[in-house]
Amino acid sequence: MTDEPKQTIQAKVLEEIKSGHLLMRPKWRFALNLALFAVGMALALALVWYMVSFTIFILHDSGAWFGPSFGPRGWLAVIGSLPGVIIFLAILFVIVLEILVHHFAFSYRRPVVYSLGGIMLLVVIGSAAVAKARVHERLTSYAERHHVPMMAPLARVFRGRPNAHLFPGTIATTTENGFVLTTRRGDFIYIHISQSTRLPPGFLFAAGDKVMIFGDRMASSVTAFGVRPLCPPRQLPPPPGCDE
Amino acid sequence: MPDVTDEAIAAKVQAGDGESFGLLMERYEAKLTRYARRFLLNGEDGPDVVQEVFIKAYVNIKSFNPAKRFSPWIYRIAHNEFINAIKKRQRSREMLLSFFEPDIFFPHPLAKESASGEAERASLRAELEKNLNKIGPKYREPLVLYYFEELDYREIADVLRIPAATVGVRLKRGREALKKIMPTSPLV
Repeated sequence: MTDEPKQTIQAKVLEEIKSGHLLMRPKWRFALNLALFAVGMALALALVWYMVSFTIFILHDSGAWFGPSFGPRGWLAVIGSLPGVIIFLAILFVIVLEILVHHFAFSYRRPVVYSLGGIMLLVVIGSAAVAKARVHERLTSYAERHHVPMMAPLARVFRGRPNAHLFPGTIATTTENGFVLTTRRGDFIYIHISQSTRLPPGFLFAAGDKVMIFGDRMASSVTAFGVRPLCPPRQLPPPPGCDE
Repeated sequence: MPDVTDEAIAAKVQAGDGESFGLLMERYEAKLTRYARRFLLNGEDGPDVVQEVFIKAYVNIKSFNPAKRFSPWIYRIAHNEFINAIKKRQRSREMLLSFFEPDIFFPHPLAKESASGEAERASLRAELEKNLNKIGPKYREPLVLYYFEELDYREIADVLRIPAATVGVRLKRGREALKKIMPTSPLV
């Protein structure tokens, strides 16, 4: 009674093999499968690199990158500037990448935290390299100049979102209690400097200086909580008698 | 051909000797039927699932690397088929979430494999056999593979695609579950 299924299973499978109904998959199918996994992983990694470096580019572009130098309120400004959709997609692709990597013994034999850590390291290094190579700056300006479908509107959507508290621009002229800032869009904003404004020590304002302002905007004026030079700061001249 | 290794037979099958696959089936049919009975808990679909395991094994035999051990490879196919059978039967989502299990996420110290004697193992097996149906599939499967199929941690890790340290954790939790069911159990 117990031997019956044994005979049946073996006999059935062998019969299928002999009749030619059951065929071995050729080796190239498995090689192709492996290659597809590798391509999938490379593609997912490239997409994550693209999205993370694009986020860095947007933060630089909106000035939010400099937010942390203005303290906790600056950090909040950075968080508010993050492109949520892109961050969500990047996280999604990191999960996809982890699932693909988990297919291989070197990954599943170790805790997930190790492979995830390795992926994060690759993402940070790769994204920093892409951001440093100014790939997005070139791509965006190319897309805008040549009106590339999809890319140009996408760049406009993300680049055209100025931060509510961070204002990068160039000092047009100094005033009694601050200066007039020309924004990248060509608008003029009156910047009010008070005693509570955080300024780099020894910083002298002058027309033409590129600066980042952190503050609250009211119509066309901003009460500055902090000012940060975007170029090397102009220092006070040394006191008389201290010339080198 | 008792002296010929499974790997050598698998290599012959890969070279086109389909008949040699019968030898592999002879060697693994009882084991896989037992594994199915214990993991699927005497499901009536057991023989059909085992047959499907052999069909999948034959179709995919060229993906097997004869430099590695054959048993974890065929047990992996069996594991996948059994999971599919459980899903069909229970429409359970438990297994779908296995990738996100916390016990595969963080490192654990690797527990030593117990070097218990054959008499002790036999009594453990008898006790397990009676109570396997009371333990969830997550802990039941490593217990079956370790105590009945006599696979080591690394082989179980390859079958379940989880870290070897997690195998130790699941075995320990499985034994603890049994201890709760049977406080007099010598397993823990």
